Amino acid sequence: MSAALSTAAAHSEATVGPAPRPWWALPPLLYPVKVGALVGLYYGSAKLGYTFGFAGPVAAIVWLPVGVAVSGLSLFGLALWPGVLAGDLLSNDYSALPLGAALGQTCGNMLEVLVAAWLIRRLLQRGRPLRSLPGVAHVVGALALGTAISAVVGPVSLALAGVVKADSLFEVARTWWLGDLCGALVVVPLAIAWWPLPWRRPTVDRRLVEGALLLVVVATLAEIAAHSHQPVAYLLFPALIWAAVRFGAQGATLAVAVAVSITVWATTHYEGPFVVGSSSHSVVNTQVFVAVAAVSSLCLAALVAERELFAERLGESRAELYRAAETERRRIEHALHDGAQQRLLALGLRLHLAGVRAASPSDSLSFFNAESQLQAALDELRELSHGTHPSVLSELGLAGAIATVAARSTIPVTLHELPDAPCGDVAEATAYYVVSEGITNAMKHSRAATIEVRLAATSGTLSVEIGDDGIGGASEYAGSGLRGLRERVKEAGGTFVVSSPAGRGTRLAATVPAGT
Amino acid sequence: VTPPVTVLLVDDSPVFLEAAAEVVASTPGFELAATGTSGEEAVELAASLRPELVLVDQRMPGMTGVEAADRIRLSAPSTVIVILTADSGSHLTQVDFPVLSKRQFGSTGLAELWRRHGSAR
Repeated sequence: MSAALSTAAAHSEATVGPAPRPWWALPPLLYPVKVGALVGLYYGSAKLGYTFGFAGPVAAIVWLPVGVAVSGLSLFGLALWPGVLAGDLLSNDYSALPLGAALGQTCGNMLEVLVAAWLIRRLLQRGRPLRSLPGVAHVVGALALGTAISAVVGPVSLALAGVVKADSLFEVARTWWLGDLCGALVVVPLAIAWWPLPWRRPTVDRRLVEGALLLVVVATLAEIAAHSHQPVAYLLFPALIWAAVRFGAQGATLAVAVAVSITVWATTHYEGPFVVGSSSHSVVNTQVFVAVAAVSSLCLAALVAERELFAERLGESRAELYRAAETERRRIEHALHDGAQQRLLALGLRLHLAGVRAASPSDSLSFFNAESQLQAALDELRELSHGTHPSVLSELGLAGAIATVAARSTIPVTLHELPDAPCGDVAEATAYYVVSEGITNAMKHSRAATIEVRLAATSGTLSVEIGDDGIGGASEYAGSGLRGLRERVKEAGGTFVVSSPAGRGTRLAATVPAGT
Repeated sequence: VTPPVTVLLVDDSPVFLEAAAEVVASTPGFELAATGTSGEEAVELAASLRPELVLVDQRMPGMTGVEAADRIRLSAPSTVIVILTADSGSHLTQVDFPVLSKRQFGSTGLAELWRRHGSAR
């Protein structure tokens, strides 16, 4: 079976994806659909901004279309740029802007989106940027750079057309840049973190309940902050931290989106902690808050992802160390058995022969004494060798070794499905220890009438189950045999489950990855 | 005078094999028919030489002692087969053949072994 598995694995590795489309071929049918969807989303988010007062004809608090466009081009290819162009041309307010200024502004927006999307695509090709701090820094940098282009080109073309006065150019550019950056910071990480969408129907479990509760808390705190006349926007941060720590980048981006929507809505309706004096000040206050909330949440989520990755790698390297140690133990046991042990056994035979053949009884005695000393040395050697790797496994294989343990049990043992093919040193040694320790425990504590042992080798794992019909109530405490078994199984990279309800027997189940 | 008991000795360790062969050769009433170094060789030699006593090591690369013994018994049921082990032999209690620890090979003696298992044929 293992041969069949490895063939299947090799086959799937050899399978290659569809050949890349040559440059001269027509774009696939899906292309116009994607472009059309992007136009709709771009135009829709721009209209949303105007309708709810997030944005005026000149600048927005949070300009969502840039986020939509960068996300679309980052995830589905730069070739979708006509969608952005069409969406931008449709969204321009031609009644408030001269045509030249509007077109200049559109050029800046296109360049902004293309540069940011090109940079984000490079990051996405290298891995998952939101799962590391350098990745988050690169994403923020790419968005800041891209949006800076639009924030220079747009206001300058407005100034040339006379819509913006030269002395307010800096302020317009700053608001423009922060508005675009905030839109990108809210939407792009949200899209990266959630694409591809988890289409499967969510199961109602504790995690889903916690996620829903989290969103309710974020929304509630944002509402409280928005309706308070005190500067209490910091109230949101515990909830944002909760989102990042418990739900990673997905939770962080969603929570930020909810919080930002409510906060911006409030500011545009002259409510909340950021409304101070002039509307220009209110806008900057809100923008800085949005940027800080988004970037800190992303950083925290990245830290959490890094920590999880470290934990996973630590576990892997721990398992790797254990495997290496087990292999080395087996090598030592084999070397002792084939080398020193045989040599000493032969020496013992020769000493015995010499004792038999000796001319005088005293010479004979000396030889026999030497022989018994040698036997003691052999005993010590064997103990040492046994401590390293159960030699019964080397001699009889897993099935034979387990049958031997079962035969020594004072409680009758029924064996089911012993695997006849080798499952790898580590897996076999672990399974052997589980069975022998389990039977020993049952003989000592369970008062059982029968023990059942089941082994199954399936698709790269070896599972062992040992159950008895005794009094149950086995407990796992530091230093107990069960704790030792759990450690051993864990070190072999497996899982270990104990179930021992009082009066209903004890059942141990271990599953370990099988090697070769 | 009864003819000597012919012995086939099989072990993958040449060092032990040499010492054990010397024990057989120096025991009156026994004669070393051949030595082999693997289970496969044990089966072949037992079929061609028909020894009365086969001493075969359990742990060898390839065919184990018990596997070889099973085959020898099929082809020559009257052969007395003893499994040798470097360990105490306590883990081979389920085996259908007499088991002798290699440590006792000298002190137990071939004659004792033959009296225990050979005379019952």
